[in-house]
Amino acid sequence: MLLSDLPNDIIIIVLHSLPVPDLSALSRTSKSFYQLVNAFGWQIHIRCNPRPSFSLAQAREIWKPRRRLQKQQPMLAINNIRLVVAAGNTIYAYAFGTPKASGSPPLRFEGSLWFRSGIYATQNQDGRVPECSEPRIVVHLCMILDLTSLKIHTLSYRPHLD
Amino acid sequence: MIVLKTSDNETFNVDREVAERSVLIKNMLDDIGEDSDQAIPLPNVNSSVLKKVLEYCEHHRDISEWDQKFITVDQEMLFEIILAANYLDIKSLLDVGCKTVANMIKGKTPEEIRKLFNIVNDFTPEEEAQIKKENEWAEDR
Repeated sequence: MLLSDLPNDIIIIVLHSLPVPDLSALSRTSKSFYQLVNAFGWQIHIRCNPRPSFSLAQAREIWKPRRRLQKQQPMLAINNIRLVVAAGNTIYAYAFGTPKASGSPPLRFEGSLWFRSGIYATQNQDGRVPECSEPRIVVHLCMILDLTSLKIHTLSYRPHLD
Repeated sequence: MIVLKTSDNETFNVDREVAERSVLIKNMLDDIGEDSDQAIPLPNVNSSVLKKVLEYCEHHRDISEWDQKFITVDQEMLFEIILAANYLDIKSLLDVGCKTVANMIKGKTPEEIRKLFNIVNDFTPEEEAQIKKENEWAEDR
C-alpha cells in the first residue's frame, strides 16, 4: 500500500500537521497532491493559524487560500513622517500631514513599489506608473528601508540587453 | 493563537491546535469564524483549573515516547494501522499515525518525498516549473 492509496480524508488529516514549506513541497510531488493541497491544505493552515485583520477582511473574501497565506503577513514601519507597509511583494508608503486646527492628521498615499519575477515598478499617488518608472527588468534587486527617514532605496543589477 | 477567558476573567493565549483538543472550544471557534480575535468565554472553568487542563492538552500535543516506539513500523503497516484506526474510529491512534506521516514529509524536497513514498511525478516539465514558481513564496519562509 502506498501513501497515494490512502483515502483523501486521511491525507487531509496529515495536511493539518504540515507547515507551509512542507505543504508546498508535497504539492509539487504529483497532480493529486497538488490538488489536495490547493483544495484543503492552504485553507487548513489559515484556519489553524488565524491572523485577524480588519483591513484585509474584504480582500480575503476574494483571495484564494494560497493567495491569502502569501499576503497575510504585512510588515509595518512607522515614524513621525510616514508609514511604510510591506504586503506580499508590494511596499506602500503613506505620509502624515499636519492637521488643520484640532482635526485629525491627514494621511496621504505617496506611492507603491512592487517586485515580481525579476521585474519591479513604482506607482505614484494617482495609481499611475510614472514614465521614468516603467516596469524594469532586473536580475537582482535589493530594497533598503532607512528606518530613520523611512525612505526606500533600491539597488538593482539589470541584465545587459543588446 | 486564540484567547480563552475564564470565569474569573483571566485570559490565556493558547495555540489553536492545543485548544482544539476541546470539542467545545473547537465548535465555538468554528462558529465565530477564522478572522475573529474575540476571546472565547469559558464561564464554567476558573483560571487555576484551566491552567492544569491546558498543561494536559499541551503535553498530549506531541506524540509520546511510547506512541513513537509503537508506530515505528514499515510504511505498509503504518498505512494499514491508519486505515484500521479510521475504520474503528480510534481518534488518538489515527492522530498518531497521521502525525507520523507528516513528520516523515517534514523538511524534505519534493523529490525526496516522491522517493520515500513511491509517488509518480505526473507533471510535465513545464507544469513542474510553473508550480515551483507559484510556490516560491512558500519555500522562502
